Amino acid sequence: MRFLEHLHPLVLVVYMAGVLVLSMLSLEPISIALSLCGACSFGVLTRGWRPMLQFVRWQLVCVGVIAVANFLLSSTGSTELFRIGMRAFYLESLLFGLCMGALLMAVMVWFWDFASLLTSEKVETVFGNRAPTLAIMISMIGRLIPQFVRQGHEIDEVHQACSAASAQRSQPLQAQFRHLSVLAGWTLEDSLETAYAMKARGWGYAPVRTTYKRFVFGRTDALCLGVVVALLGLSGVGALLNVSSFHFYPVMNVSPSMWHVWSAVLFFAPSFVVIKERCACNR
Amino acid sequence: MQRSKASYRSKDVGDYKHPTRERLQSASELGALIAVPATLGLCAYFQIEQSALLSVMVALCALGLFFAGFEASKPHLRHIMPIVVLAALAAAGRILCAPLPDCKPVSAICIMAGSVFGRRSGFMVGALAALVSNFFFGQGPWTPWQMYAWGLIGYLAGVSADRGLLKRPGVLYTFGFLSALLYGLILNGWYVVGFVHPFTWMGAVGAFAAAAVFDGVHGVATVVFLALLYAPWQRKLERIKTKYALVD
Repeated sequence: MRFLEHLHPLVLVVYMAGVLVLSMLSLEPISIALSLCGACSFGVLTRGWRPMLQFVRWQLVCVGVIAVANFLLSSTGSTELFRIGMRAFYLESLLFGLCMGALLMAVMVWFWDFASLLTSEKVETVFGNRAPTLAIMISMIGRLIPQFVRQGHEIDEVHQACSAASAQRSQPLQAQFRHLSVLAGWTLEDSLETAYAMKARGWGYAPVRTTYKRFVFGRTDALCLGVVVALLGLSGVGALLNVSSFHFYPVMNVSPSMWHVWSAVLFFAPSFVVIKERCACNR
Repeated sequence: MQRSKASYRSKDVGDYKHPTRERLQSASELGALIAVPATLGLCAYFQIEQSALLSVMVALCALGLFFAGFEASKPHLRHIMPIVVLAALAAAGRILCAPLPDCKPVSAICIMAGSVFGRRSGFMVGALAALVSNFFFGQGPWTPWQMYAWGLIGYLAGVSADRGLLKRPGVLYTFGFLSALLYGLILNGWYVVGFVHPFTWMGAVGAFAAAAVFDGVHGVATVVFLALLYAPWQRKLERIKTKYALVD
């Protein structure tokens, strides 16, 4: 984990974006299974069994819903399972639904895995100076949400203190909407004062903002980025070839190919790094 | 005296745009917004296998175009502040109302933002509220779709307000209800086109019918929020707009 934590965020962002696109691109069972297993193993290694199971529990329900929905909504295939009236239900459409559900689950687990690794600070390192206005807007919105809670209590207390408290207890909903309006007005005026204060202190006057650099793109990062890009390229070509030869309907043809090896290496690379680190620590 | 004041203001506001450039930007925005549902339709029509990926890419490009346009216009801090505050209010409202399924104030706040601060601000409020609130609910492949759908609601509200359509309460509430349905249509459309294969119209209708109750609740909630908040907040926002000279 230490190695991944100290890696330049650019490598992580490229890896994550690539893995997400690759997972969504390769619509065939073997690649989806590899992606899902890679994501789950990394999740177990970095966060432990229990949180992983807790997270996956809800995803499994989601997978079930998608599988059943596809089963009910689309009636195509060759292996008939049963028939209700004129409508036949086929195994292939159930399997397609399961694959789609697993794909969605893999994407969610990848997001969850990287949520702990790619902190907002690292995301800002990669994108911050390219889109300074958006970066400051997002960080301000993130700061305002907890501030609303505090200000909401304050408004409530003031309101109670300067009016007969029992009188407004009778219409709590109306009082709440009034508080909300007060909060909106207060924050808006406040934010504009902030804007003038920031302007007075010279925000945005330099063409490029200077930031304290925590991450320097070194030789290791370049090497890792090269490996990630190469693996992504190989697996991408493989995914295109595999998908063009694979079809769900009318009969599913699952055939492992050499290209799957590259995807497997890519999907399990983070887990491998973590395991190797732990072995080195134990020695 | 008059002249020097005018020149000071135009320099201060700083976002005077050449009419041609302005028209170009509007046209490209419109194209990006239309491209997303068009891609969904084409994916459904041609039964494209990778439609989940393809349509998400188009949605991301549309969002990217809007964000890049916003960034390139170098907005002043005081112009971005209302967007920030309204987006934060929408995100906080969504988090507060999370226990009640589909009772989200986000659409109502996007409509307000669009109608008071213009269509681009409306889009930014919707997109940013979806993005930031998903830090609490969990990011996923649906994030770009929610960003696009709420952004679109804000944009359409801005366009309608420019034509003076949202002044009558009846029209406003109908707009609110329909925009919640539009939100549902976009998200369900993405699900049906991306995740149900082979695509059939029967299947699509089935999926939309299954989601109709939730979309209906969302629509009613939007109308209720608009009825309770639109008039007082609009007054408040207009006052702040005048007080801080936020008019371009």
